[in-house]
Amino acid sequence: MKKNLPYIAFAAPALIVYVIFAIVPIFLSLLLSFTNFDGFGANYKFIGFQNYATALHDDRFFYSIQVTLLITVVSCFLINLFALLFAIVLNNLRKLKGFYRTIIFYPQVLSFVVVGFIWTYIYNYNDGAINFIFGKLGLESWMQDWLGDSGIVVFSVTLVIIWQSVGFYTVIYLANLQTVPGEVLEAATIDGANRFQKFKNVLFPLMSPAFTINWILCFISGLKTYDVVKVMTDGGPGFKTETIAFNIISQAFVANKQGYGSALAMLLFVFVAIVSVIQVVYLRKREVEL
Amino acid sequence: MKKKWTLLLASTMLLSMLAACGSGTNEQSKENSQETEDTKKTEETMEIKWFRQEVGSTRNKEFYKKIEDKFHELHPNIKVVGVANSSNLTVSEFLKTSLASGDMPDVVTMQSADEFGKANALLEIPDHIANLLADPEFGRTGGKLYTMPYKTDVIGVFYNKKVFADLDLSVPKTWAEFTDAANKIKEAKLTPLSTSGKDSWVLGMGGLWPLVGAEALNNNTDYPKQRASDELTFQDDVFKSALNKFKDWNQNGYFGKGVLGMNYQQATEQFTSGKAAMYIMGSWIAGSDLPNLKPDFEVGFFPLPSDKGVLGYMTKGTEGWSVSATSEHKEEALEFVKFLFEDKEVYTSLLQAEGAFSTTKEPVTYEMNEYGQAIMQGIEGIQPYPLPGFGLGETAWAPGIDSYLFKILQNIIAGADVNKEIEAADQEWSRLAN
Amino acid sequence: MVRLTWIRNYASEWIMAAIALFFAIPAYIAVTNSFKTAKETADSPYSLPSNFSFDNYIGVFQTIDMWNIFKNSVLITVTILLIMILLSSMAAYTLQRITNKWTSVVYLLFMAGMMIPPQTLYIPIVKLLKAMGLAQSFPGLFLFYIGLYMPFCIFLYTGFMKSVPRELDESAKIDGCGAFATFWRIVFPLLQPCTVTVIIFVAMWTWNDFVNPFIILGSQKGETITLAFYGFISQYNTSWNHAFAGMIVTSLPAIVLFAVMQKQFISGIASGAVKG
Repeated sequence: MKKNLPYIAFAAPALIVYVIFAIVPIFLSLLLSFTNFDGFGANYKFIGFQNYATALHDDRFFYSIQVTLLITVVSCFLINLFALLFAIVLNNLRKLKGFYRTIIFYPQVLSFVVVGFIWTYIYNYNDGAINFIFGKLGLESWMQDWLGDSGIVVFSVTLVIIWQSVGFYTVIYLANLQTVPGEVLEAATIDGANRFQKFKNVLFPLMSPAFTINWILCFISGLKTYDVVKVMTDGGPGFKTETIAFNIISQAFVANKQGYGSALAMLLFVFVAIVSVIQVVYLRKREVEL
Repeated sequence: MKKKWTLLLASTMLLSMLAACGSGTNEQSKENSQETEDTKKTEETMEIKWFRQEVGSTRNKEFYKKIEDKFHELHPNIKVVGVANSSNLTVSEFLKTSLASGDMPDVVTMQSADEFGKANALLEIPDHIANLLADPEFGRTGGKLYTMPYKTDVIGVFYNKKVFADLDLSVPKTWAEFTDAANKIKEAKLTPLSTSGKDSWVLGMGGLWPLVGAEALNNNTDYPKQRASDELTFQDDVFKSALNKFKDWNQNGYFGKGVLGMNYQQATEQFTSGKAAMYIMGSWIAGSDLPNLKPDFEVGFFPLPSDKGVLGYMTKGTEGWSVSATSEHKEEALEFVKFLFEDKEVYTSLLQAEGAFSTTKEPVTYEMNEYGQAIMQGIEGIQPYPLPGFGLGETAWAPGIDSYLFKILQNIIAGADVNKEIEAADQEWSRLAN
Repeated sequence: MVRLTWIRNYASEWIMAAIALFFAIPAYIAVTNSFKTAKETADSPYSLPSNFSFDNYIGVFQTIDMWNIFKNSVLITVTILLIMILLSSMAAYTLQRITNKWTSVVYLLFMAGMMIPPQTLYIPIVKLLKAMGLAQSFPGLFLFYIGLYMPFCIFLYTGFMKSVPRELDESAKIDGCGAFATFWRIVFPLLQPCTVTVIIFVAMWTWNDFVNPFIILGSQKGETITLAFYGFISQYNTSWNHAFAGMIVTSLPAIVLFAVMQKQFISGIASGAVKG
């Protein structure tokens, strides 16, 4: 114990600040979830688990879970697929590597306001880039109200998320690729493996550390989606793109139900934690086995 | 070699960290000394913060700075510091967050005085200031006045006179005539009613609220009050019939294509570029001087007719200046609010910037642009009626219900069943109102 | 280094070009329109500008008190970078070197912070700061950021730390170094690629952030550069051409930072987070 004293001192500042400014607010939020606090601070009282009971019957909340899961699963799947492919192609390039890396990565660097703004412009029905191109190509029937059509708006938003994030995950796959020794694949070629077998049995397993990290980070991030939706669709049309986080903020600030919003936030927190733990355990096990 | 670099790096980091901590504490000590200086100067200069919406080129920083400076000249011991919300928080979110952090500005623009007043976040306006208003009894919550409404907006139908002339249409005086005109416009391959689905408040301002108002004038002028007190619900008429009319508008294709993806700016541009012949909107359009809002046709205005005829024109007069209940300079803040009304030049400039109508005892007029003039012509001889959904006191609706209703409007445009939506709205009302 | 020859080498170039096109289209729109007049932006948004006019950029710089706000952004970003690098690397050292029940719990505690959308904690945090007398202060903002970024930084550093062999620690101790010296002289320099990664992310997030400074610092002190430019994109008056100019000016520093440091950035992730 005494031997560890300096180490404890090392970790202490970070831990102390973090506990006060991250853990305590979460705890406060938990406390609030047991009240009917409206955000104004006038009079509020302890109401026990009532908020949680209400949440179980809240259709809007359940719908937001659906929306969030849809966005998360679709985006994580596609992001990882594209990121891996992009990493492979990038790795193969002989020239202009840095340039292309920057082009894929730069969306990650933009603030969500900028991203939402540009894409709202692109998705515009009348003079947005997408419909404009379709119009010029004579594909009028392909023109859609990308952000207004309830059937496709979720996918339009997901596409933006993919566009913005893929660079980050590509870089992680790239990094992993760099650690894969060339001889492994050569050995596989000599053994007579075809492309697909090479990919499936050699490359993909070797990329599993990166895959684990990427999937976990991507999933957690997806479950927390808020900013892009707020800027592009404001949860609309109707409730079609209301994510859990969006619903929480809406309850807290618009409906003046801060206590209820906190309850929903706690539910989300538990949900993310459970899902993450399950995924980490599964993926790490898979890593070890491979 | 490596050791030297490591040492250098380590010492630079340590130094910078100390410097950073130092600057942090410097900021704090600067603030502290500022505060002690300020308290020393209490007889000399007090600072009050004024939160107002900076909107583009008409109501920008400079515009407000002139007002702030003028007040400072008259009261050298009070300095007004302007606060703007340029984040992506809504005005309401901003006020609520600043209230929670104890940072609520002293004088604020207030759009939902009922909500904030009931939560004791606002100071009661004393009578000597309230009496500057033409109607000091208007906008009271439980008998108390929490905000000084500084303007009245007029909401109605702006129309393209050229299109009307080309299609041989006259100003509609009844609902039937209005529908007829819209149909003819549609046949001429123009959009009858410009609106924006994405900025959903436009659906409300340019759709639901005037419809509810027109229905109320036709059938039951007390509906807003009865809805507020839960005597009537959304299922009952006036609201139900209004919502159905809104649905009809959408089904008849009056809104044109791609509504749900359009925003407010695009909706306005649709009208000013001549693609849409009518635009239900408010007088604040008259206050904007953006070049793309200048129509190259003559603009007209008429109030939305009810079934029986034109029974009134819609007004909205609930936006005002309020004083925060936690202000440390209440007297000075109230003095500033008084100034905003008493100083004719300042008051007129505020009105003009928003194309609005005065609320003071002595009416104030100014030279209006084409939109303003069109309004004046259109409302001649017609009585005003307060726009539903923007009440204070007895007619105040549950906070947050308007956002919910706007979402419902979006759902209806997307094809949802009106009755189901009304049911959901009623449920949400009960949830919000308790 | 893996060369996947089944994607023929020249095909890679074509595929990459196509991908790059898709990614570059929004940038093309923003850049070209930022040099146009309002009318041209409305009439022909997708063509190249007929006259390259810097008017929008000039207008942007004129409307905003650039120097002070820029200073604000730089001050906040640099301070946070230094604090985060220091605090998280030290804590990660402890968490990674000492493996017992406690450090596992603490590690999980740190990870827990990633599981909740930060926006949902605004009211509690703001009230907490007020109770501590830190409302509307820079220290308050820094402490908030520390809480916010700590999970990610610790995640990166603990991952990377695995690639710094413990033998180095031991040999340093034999040489007579205390824990402090061991860390600063031996371990930390080896963490450089990870530090680069942390710098890029934290700098990017802080620079782009405007909601948090606005809420926590308050509207007067809290004007960062991104907030100032967001003022352009105000609800009722979207001058697209000005907005695009503003966006480019705000985003450029971060893009340049990445472009310049990308090699180190990637090797940092390669040696650490991935191998671990």
